[in-house]
Amino acid sequence: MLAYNRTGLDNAALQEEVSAAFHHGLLSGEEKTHIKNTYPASFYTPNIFIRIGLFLLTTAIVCFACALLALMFLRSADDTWRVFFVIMSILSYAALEYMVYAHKHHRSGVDDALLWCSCGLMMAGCYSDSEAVNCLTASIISLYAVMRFADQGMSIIATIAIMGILFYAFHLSFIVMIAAAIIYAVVKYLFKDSWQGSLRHYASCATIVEITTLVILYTAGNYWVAREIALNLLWPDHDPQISLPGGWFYWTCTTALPLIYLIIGIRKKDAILLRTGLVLIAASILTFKSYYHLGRLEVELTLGGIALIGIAYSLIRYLHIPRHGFTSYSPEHLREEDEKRAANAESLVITESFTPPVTPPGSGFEFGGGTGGGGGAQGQW
Amino acid sequence: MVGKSPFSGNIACLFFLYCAQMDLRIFERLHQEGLIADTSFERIRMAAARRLFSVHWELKVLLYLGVSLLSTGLGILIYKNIDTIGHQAILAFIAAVSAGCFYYCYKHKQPFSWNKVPAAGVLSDYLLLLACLTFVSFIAYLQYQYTVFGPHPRIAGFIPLVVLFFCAYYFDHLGVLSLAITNLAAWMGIVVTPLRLLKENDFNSETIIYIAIALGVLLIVTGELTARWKRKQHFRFTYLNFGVHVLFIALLSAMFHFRQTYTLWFLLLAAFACYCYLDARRQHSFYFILILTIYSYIALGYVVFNLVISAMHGTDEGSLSLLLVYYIGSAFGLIRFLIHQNKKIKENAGI
Repeated sequence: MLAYNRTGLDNAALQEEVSAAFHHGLLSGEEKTHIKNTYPASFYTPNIFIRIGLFLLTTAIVCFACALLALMFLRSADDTWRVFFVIMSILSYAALEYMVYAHKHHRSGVDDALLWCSCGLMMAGCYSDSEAVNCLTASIISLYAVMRFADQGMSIIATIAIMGILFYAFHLSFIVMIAAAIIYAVVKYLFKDSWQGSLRHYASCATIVEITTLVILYTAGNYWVAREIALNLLWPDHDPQISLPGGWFYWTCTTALPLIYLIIGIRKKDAILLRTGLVLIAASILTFKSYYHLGRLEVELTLGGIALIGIAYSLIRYLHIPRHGFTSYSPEHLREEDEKRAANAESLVITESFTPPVTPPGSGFEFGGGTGGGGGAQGQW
Repeated sequence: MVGKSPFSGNIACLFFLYCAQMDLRIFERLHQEGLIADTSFERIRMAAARRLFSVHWELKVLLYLGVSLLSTGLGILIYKNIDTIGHQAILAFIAAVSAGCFYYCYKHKQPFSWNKVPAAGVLSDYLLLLACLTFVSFIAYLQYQYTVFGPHPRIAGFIPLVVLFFCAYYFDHLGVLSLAITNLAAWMGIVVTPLRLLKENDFNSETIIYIAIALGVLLIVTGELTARWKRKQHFRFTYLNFGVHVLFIALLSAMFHFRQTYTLWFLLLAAFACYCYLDARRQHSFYFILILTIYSYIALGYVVFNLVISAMHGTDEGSLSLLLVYYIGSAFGLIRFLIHQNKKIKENAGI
């Protein structure tokens, strides 16, 4: 199903790991080159800035080509534009498959742009007046794109579109919440061991889907969102001053969900849950603020700023020494400390092993390795 | 400038992904195949075993939010309380915050050097930012209420500028340097904050265009001299980044504005793009290659548009098609150019 060569993808992933290890000073340059030659990644994947440039230029080409062909062939104002969009979409898709197959483009900007243009044009061609039908089309198109190209952005669209179908079909945020939770759990289960298994090339999409479902689960339970939807979509004639029936449920979700994310994230050391939780706490504070005014805006800003700096300050002081496996230092800083420690340990080993009369040869080795490993495991350095 | 550009940090901060999950099994396999030496593998195994969960970025974001909320809140607080009894208390509070933060940074700073100084810590990084922001509002308030620095607003604006540049160099802080550059631009009369550069400047005014050109040249020259004289060489990218964008946008606006002499401005822009190209190749910078490609594409497109319109005497279907064919063709050409540059820079960067 995947358009890209699977061995090539494996090799590219492996090279990424090796480059990271080299960057962290764990591998020598020769080892890195040797590994890269043994496991060559045959793809064309340029630097990120070149990728951005290629993306913009390819998008420009598709747009101008559409304009040119429209100028040449589109005469009347009837429904032929639908056919035109679909044809353009098929043409971009053909170009995409060609670039991937013949020129081995992978995350090069060209393939990203062609994929997004093709899907967008197809969506425009199949546009209908019913939101539910639109969501259905979008989910079919984006699911295909995810399966064929493992594109991260498309996996966001697919998740949102599926939730959209459910929402427009039932008009119940409760069902959307349950569906989001189910998708999160299923994805989490399927990608528990993402390095192995046939789904390994979709691991990055799975991360994105996890974030999206967590955010949707929260959004569907958010009081402000629920109230706006109720007033604008469901009962447009109602008095805008009413409070939402079942409001306690939404207030509970607004308060509890970010905290639950945060707590589980800390306990399981799950960066996705932790960071999503932090962002959503900010969203909850904004929700509260739009209904309850504690004071004037500038006072709230000042006090909030002081509180945030205070929290961050105490956490930095608390995690100065790593606790419960958390540290306030950046990975780079830890690496430097490691290197210093390694250098110290090495010099100790050297001095130990160059004093033969007193120290038996075994203990020098044991001393260097033992303290280094033990100290490292406790993270006291 | 390529690998260690200030972007690498920001991008890592923006992206939610935490992808550095080292997988030991990959390295086990490579070790069995004899591609990794025993010592390296032992190092990797130890690193994986003691892997700590770093909340460094989370703390940085919290601190940044706290600093921006606090300085904004204090700014509005004095603004709204001018002429009331409380405003002197607020002023004293702002002065105290600024002085306290400066004191903390001074206490914790590393010894000064013209080379890159490692950061003293996350906290003092952000407290310095807070100190500078509150200092700027303190001076602005003094000038507004008491006109301490005389009737000339330019002079009052100059003092925070000097302090900001001094702090950027003295404490070696790229964030304060960016703040100083945006303040310099504001002092000269233009907005250079990335998101508002195009939105809030009236590039139809001739003075603004000339000022922007002067500012761009000034920043680029400063950046180059910074590198040549080895005075905080790592500041070069920040100077150049602001300078290149400001100069390109100013030259483009000049092309659009002075219709009679647009060829002259186009030649200037082309010359500047060539300079950027040579510099980017020398510095192995993918970023500047991208920037110059996009601005040149717009400028060339405008010139060809004008040529076609004047040659065909109007916008009929034929000239429009010709233009579109040109836009498609030139985009193809630039794609080839970018792909070629990517290859060249990669080859040279490897040496």
